[in-house]
Amino acid sequence: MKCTLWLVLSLITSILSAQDASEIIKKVDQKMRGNSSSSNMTMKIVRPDWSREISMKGWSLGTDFSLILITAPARDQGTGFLKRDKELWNWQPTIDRVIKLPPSMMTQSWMGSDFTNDDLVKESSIVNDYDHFIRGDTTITARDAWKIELIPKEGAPVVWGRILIYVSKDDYIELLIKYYDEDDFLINTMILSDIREMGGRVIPARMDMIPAENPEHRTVIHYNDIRFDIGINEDFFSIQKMKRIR
Amino acid sequence: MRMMATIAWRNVWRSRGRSLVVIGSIVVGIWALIFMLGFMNGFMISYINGAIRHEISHIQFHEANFKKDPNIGFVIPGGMDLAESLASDPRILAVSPRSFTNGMISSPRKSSGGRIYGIIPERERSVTHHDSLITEGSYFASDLKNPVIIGKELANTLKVKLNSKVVLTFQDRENNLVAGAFRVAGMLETTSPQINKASAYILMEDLTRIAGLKEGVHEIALLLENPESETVVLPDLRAAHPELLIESWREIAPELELFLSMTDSFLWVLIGIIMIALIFGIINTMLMAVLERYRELGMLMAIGMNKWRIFMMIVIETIFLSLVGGPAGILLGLITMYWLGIQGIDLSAYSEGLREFGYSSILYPYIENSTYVYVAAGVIITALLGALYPAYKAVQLNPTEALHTV
Amino acid sequence: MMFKLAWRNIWRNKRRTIITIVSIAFAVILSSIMRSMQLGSYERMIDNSVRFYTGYIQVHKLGYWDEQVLDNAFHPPRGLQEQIESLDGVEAAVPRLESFALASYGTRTRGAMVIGMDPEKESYLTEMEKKITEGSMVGLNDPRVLMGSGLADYLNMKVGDTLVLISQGYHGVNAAGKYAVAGLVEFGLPQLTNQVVFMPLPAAQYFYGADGLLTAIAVVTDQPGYVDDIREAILRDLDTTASEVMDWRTMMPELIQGIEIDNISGIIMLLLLYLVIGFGMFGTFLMMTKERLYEFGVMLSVGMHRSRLQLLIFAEIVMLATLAVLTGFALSLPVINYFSQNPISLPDEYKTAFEKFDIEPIYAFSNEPIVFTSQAWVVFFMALVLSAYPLYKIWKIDPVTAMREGR
Repeated sequence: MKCTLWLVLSLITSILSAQDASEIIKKVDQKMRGNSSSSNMTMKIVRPDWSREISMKGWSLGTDFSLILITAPARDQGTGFLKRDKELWNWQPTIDRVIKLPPSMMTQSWMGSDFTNDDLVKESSIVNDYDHFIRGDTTITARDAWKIELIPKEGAPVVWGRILIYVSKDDYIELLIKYYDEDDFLINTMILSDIREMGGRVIPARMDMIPAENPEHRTVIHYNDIRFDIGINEDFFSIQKMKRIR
Repeated sequence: MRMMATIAWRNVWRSRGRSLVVIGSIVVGIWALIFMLGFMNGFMISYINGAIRHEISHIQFHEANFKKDPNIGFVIPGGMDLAESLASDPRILAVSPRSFTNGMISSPRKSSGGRIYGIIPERERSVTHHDSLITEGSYFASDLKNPVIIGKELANTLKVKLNSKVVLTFQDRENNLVAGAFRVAGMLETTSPQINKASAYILMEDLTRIAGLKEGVHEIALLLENPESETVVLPDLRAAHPELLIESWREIAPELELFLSMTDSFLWVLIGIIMIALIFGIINTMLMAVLERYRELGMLMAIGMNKWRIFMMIVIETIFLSLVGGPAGILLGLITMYWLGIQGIDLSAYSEGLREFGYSSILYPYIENSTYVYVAAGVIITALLGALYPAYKAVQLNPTEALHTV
Repeated sequence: MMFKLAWRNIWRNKRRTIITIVSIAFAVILSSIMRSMQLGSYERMIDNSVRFYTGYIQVHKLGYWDEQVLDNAFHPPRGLQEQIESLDGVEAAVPRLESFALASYGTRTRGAMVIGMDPEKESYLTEMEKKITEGSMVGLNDPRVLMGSGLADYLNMKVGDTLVLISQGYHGVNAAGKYAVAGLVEFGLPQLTNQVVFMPLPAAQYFYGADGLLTAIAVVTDQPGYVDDIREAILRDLDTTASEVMDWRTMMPELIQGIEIDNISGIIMLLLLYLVIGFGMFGTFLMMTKERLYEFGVMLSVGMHRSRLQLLIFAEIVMLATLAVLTGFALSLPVINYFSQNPISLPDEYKTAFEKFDIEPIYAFSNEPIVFTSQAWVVFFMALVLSAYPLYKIWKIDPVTAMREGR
């Protein structure tokens, strides 16, 4: 579930009183709609025997469009990923090729991280593919948060049995996300931390994705800087752009 | 001539021991060959039938381009109607139209590539009999929505069980990604590793709906009433539908043909070896007999029986022995085959390996009626040939010498 | 003393003795031939299967076989390849770096299996040059690749076109490259022909960002009997905390099962042969007994104890059997050796089915010692068991009747 990578890039300052779970989730999600952003990020893949750091630039529009350009290390530099709704394209400058990812590649890990290619395309689904329920209140790193449970709707093409999202009450930021299979085994955990102001908004600058079965593995994403409402529209997110952007 | 025959006959019964041994050799020879042929036949049939019955069927239809490029857009035009008309052909036992695509099957823990079949259960079961191979759950009998049936091994790889949710992802005709969530309604264990490890069966309507197709028959598989009729039915079908790719199991699974060839070619060698062993046994026995009858033969020659007659006498003796041994051998063979045909030979000590390879663990030997005749004829001819050399030796005797033997 | 007598008895009636010896020797020869062909076919089966892909033995990083991912590749210890090749019976140690990639040409894409290999060594294993249907072989430092013809067909490619490969490399680095196709290969296994891309090892290592890494070293031998010795020799010098060695039995257990099944039917065939042979031998013994009834009667009436006579006859049979079995053994050796070097071709009607799968259409003969020794022993014991008949007869006969009957 990669909703967060794009989701948390914006903030609402609206205040709502009585809200039900779906509204909360919609708000969390809606922070993205109509909002565009551009950012610089670093992703670190941590394994027991090795680790790897990747730098990238990202642009997004709502939850349906995004573009990522890898800037470091050298071997990966220049490769691009373009998401348009449910489809994902990959640009390989060294061989001058764009390919559309087939199903077999969608389930593979993205750049060797603990995210899959599929995760990159699936974010907006948390609103539509799930039913939402508030399960309680709690505190996470000194912030008051709702504990919201997401249960997949019947027929929704998602593998999870349920998802728990802890949303901070003050600013509608996801703080913690837990992914369970249908037997209630925890499969993945995402921790969002380092919450501070960037680009005019308060967002978590760090995300850790930890697979439960391999707790020594993790993927960490840092936002180095970010700007919001940069005035781009759908046309920005095209294959030609992906090839030309620097 | 009649006298020769009478003498020969009496000789046969005079020396019961020897005669019984030769008859015994013939009976054993015939029985051994019948058993061997029946056994190997049973082996081959079991393997081939396993594959045909549960996996590839007798004949398959595809759109001409489909095999090379299994794009979901390459449907058989009017597939369902075609399936109906085939079903009404009296030579065809059962027909199963299917949708098909390649895709990914994912669970929370793992993903695996595989073949996704959209089927109509009542049709499919009449052709592949998968309902009899369900190890857990049921064959689309429950009310589960979006049911899927997967091989047991695939379930293990994905770490899912009955009622678990899996997501099937594939591409529509424009190569856009489409996906659906399904529930494991049953687990399958067949003799085909391909099916067990990398296949998923869902309802045809679910597959076509997700793919956005109105009608989507990519494959029609059928079973013939009479397997032999393939040589006639296949050309007929090809003539009637020249635009489609119509293949028989031999073309779809050439490894079966290989298996048949391997087994067959070996069988001939084994038959040869046993025949040689038989002939030698008979030669040796008869030679010994000639040796034993030295005195008697010498006497016959001394009293005037000419060499030619002695020769013939021995040959006729052998003919009589064969005429007794032949039918007895066939009878014994018949009884054995009949009994084993019902009982079967239980090979379950080796059953795990057998099933992996497509044999059921009980083997039913099988033999055509004409084979009995061929085997008997072969053995009798062998026996006669075996008698020639000893008969020849017999007439080489020097009567005087023979008479003086102790 | 008894033996001298027995020995003389044997040679007293040469004809009878010769016939008996021939009967037994022939039994040994026939059953040895049958067993040799059966074992030969298994050896072929193993060799063919092993040479398709895995080789007889493989050395990997510990854990690679269970999880065959690129991240489990290893730096082979220094000199390992040379060390393995110096072992007795090893034809070659074939290095490999394999993984998956998306192959693309024009608008078409398909999953492919990329095998980074050393062309010269690989030829010992998969005999690639023989499988080239178009184009030519690549060299070790060639930037070009070989493709399975099925894959080329699907992508609408021909020799000279440029193949695009995209994948994830070692530790997730981006792997993307363009390679000119030097030639097309076709294997008996369609799965291979439809998926495989053979790339020279250095190019593959660069493509996957896996400098100096291998996923496996496959070992080929032309003496399958040596496999266990080779494996042990490799194990001796290997660091087993870092690497693993496995032979084909672990890598292809289905093959063992397949052979087991074949063996079952093989043993049944052998038993049937023994039945027929046994009957023949029995006939010989029966006749021999009948022929010597008079002689037995005489000896008994002259005062020889039955048990002594039995012992005498038994000694004769043992000697005969030994002679015969040794003769049979000696005769079968050259015959089987000849055929194991010069196998018989299959009749034409079966050839096509075999050749489709790249399997030599021959009747193979095995010249493993066990073929000869096991059959010799079986026939020897059969003879001993069948000797029960003459011994029984001796026990039962009345000397006078015997002398009369024998006349």
